[in-house]
Amino acid sequence: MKPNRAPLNRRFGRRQLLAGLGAAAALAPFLPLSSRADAGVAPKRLLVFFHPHGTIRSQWLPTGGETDFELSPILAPLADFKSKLVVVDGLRLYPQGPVGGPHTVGPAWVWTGSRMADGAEFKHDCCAPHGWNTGPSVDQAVAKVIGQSTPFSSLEFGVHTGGYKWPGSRISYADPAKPMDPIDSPLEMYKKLFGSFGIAQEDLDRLRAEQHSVIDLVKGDLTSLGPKMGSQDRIKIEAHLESLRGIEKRLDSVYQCTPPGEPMSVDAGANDTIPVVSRLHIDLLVAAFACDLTRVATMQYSVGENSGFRFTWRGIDKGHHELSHGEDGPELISIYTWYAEEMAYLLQRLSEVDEPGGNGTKLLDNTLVVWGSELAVPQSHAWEPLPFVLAGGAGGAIKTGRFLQYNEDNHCRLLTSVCQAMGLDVEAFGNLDTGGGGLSGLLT
Amino acid sequence: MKELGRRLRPDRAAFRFTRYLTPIACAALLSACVGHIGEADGEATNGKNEEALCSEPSAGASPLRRMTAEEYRNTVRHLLDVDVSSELPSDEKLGAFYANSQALMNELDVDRYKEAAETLAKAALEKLDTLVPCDLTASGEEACARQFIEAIGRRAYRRPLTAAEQSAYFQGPFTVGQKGGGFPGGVRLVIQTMLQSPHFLYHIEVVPPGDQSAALVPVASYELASRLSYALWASMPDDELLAAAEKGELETAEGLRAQAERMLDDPRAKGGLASFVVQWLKLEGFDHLEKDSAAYPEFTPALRDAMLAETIAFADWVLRKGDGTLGTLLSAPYSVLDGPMFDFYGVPKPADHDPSEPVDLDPGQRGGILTHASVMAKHAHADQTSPVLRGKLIREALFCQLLPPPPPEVNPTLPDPDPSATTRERLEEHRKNPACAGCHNLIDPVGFAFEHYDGMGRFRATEGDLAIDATGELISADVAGTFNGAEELVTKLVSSEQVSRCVANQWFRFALGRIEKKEDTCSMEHIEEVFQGSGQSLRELVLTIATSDAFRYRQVSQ
Repeated sequence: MKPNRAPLNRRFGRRQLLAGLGAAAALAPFLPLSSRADAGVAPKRLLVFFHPHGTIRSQWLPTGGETDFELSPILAPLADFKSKLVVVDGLRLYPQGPVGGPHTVGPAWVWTGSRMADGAEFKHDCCAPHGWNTGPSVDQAVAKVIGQSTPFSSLEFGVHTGGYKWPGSRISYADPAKPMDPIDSPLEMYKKLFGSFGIAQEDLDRLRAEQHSVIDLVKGDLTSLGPKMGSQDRIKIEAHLESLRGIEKRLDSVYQCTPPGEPMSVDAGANDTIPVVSRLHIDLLVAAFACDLTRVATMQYSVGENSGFRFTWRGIDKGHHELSHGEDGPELISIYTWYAEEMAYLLQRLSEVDEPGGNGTKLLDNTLVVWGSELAVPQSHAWEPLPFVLAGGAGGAIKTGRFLQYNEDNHCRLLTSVCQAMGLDVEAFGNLDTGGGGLSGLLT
Repeated sequence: MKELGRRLRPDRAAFRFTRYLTPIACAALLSACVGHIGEADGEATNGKNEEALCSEPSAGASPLRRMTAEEYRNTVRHLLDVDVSSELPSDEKLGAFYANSQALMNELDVDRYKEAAETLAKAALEKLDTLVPCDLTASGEEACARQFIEAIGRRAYRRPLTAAEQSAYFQGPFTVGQKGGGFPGGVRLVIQTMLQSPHFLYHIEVVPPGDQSAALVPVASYELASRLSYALWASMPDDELLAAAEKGELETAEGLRAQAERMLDDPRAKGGLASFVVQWLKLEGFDHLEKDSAAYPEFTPALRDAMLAETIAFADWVLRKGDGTLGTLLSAPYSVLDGPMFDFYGVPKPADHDPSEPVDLDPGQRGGILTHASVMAKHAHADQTSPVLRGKLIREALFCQLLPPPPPEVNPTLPDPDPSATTRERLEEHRKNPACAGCHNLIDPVGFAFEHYDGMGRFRATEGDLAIDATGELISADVAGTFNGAEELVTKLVSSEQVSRCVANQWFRFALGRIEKKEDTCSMEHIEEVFQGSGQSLRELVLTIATSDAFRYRQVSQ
């Protein structure tokens, strides 16, 4: 299926929520324009774009200097956006603490910049048991600061990320031992974002009253249960309460937006429709940003181990993981190039949408996309040099169109810079950080 | 019922150790290569170094657990007679089994429960008369509502609701729901709320009021009823079990065992057994397994579903109608087949065949659960067999041994496979190269035993034109030695004390929802002894676990 390039509200085909257009007019704006500090200052958005298994460095690394570089074969699909990119080479993960299986700990290490917890929970991979993460991931750290202004403090999109939770399957963590879960089904995501559109006001009122009575009772149950649990278990009850409060807050919000049509039905668990799901999710993500439903998101392809992807649509029968333990052949290159193509589609879509509020910029200009993986070298699972590609201007915080080469700098410095670019006042990120602030020369 | 996106990681295990080479570490230290599941603080749980403590009950800490998706589905079916049709929260996996005991709930989890509750409550209304057997005209709405709240609350919370709790339901959800939707609306909102309560979603075990200094307490009656029903049925207690709890019958080992025996004979035990077998043999996601359509065009969804059904039906028959032993499970010359399985196995279908009764398999081809098409197909690649995956299954599921990943600084690459060689020959490099052999000698030779079952589990005498060599050697095991083919390997497994202990440990983990700790040593020793002494009766195993100290007592953590 070739994705079409029709304008936003005719993107998906099939049903249009015609009623939604009427309801939207009846709703009061959630985000009063006066909450934006000055007219014309657009909000910043962060997107973490993840693919598994590192890359083939020789085919990924650009050639040339900082501002006059040539894109590599793997990055060639991004040629139209070269001036919006920052390719970052030479960073390194410096792990501490329990070292478990590389695919199990990689996602948490890279994106939280923190060690794994001591513990015995995860022994999938022998010899060095460990628990969950000990710190939040960069997207969630940012969401904690900027997420309150939007109905969803963050959104997690998954392409074939599978059904169960283990550290290797999660790149987004809100707190220690609190992974966020990607939604694999575009339809589920659509209903989550736009499901309440098209409902008549009186029904909405009744529904809200019902949901409040449910939440009140459940909150009561949780609150009275807490003191009856041991201290470790009380943390779980607290987390449940906190999540419930998040839902409750959203109950009373209304937002003004023209929802897109419902996405076509697709089996989000099948292998061969992976490219379809990828595009559907990217479209939904762009719609979510355009409607200001969130300003922080992650797009996660598969999981650390990635045994589920067979790139049949590229004419490749073997699984990605299996191939990654072979030579750096054309099949592997094709796989990594596909991810660049999806990234290119994302950037294309973001560059088409005018910044809501109309200050003349496009969504892409005010977004920071951080594209990375959970390790560097597929065959050996080494963590250096970690490949990263940034895109978008983050509202001018980052000077783009550059190829930056560092010398084994701690990758936490990039995470620090990302936070700084998003307006956070921090000088370090994660407990693997060894100091030095953000990456030199990255921010304007 | 197809749910978009709801499947357990298809083939996640499939490529984990493909081509994993482990130089350096493994070559030098074979014994260090292999870890054991369940070793807490470096001590083995074989009980050899624990002595006089066994005179007093002890139990490892049991963290608060939330229901798994499977438990939720089964519970909702038994509570409301409806099926889940929406996405449920992802489960956490610790070891081989699902247990939501560490990761904290996030908003999506809460949202998914909310969605599910709304849909299920609405669906439940279709059977309102069964749900609320109360004469509205005679008793009036309020009385019927209160009666309903008490009755359903007891089952949903798995214990009687307090007066305050019942009142909260009446004043809150019932009244609000009634406003918009009359009596049915009130009923619906009550159900919707209960399905989101922590008392429904978690396996609640509270710190008992009163003596806070006790480190170990008996599990309270209703909580014990829940432990028992979820261990045996992967679902909620029935009314008879709740009544037994109420009367205090579960407080003694005898009373507990009596209920456990009754429950093992109940058809609902099939659900619990299926849950164990699927997780133990790593068959999760089988219902979504895909094969390369060029290599295995016959691997249709219908055949695939029949394969899984066979494995569950067979295990159920062995445990509840057969002799219930591990030996039979692993080596029986018969299975319980239906639909396309007869053709697939080349077994003639008897006239007037009862699909719940076993049929003899071709003894030259296969026997026992490890040679089931489901197990062979799951532990294989999309287009060929995988001795590595099959060897790994045996090591992990039957010997409880874990294998490490390659060290990060190594850069191993394998040569491309030689199409004129058999699978076995292509893996020679694993064992010729001394850097790889250390670990791969543990795995590959075991997997070779199954080379007569192709990547979709079909029996094959040859691999194309090439002869199959299904000989192998089991090393680093109490029944070490050579074998030729699956049947001889299975004979060794059945006679292995290590396998016996491992299977006992696996079921413990499943039933308790956690890995055994050193405080469970006494219970574990006893369980292993009884299992071995009973001729490896799985029935005895389950009953002994359910009446062990680890099951009946819990640590109270402050």
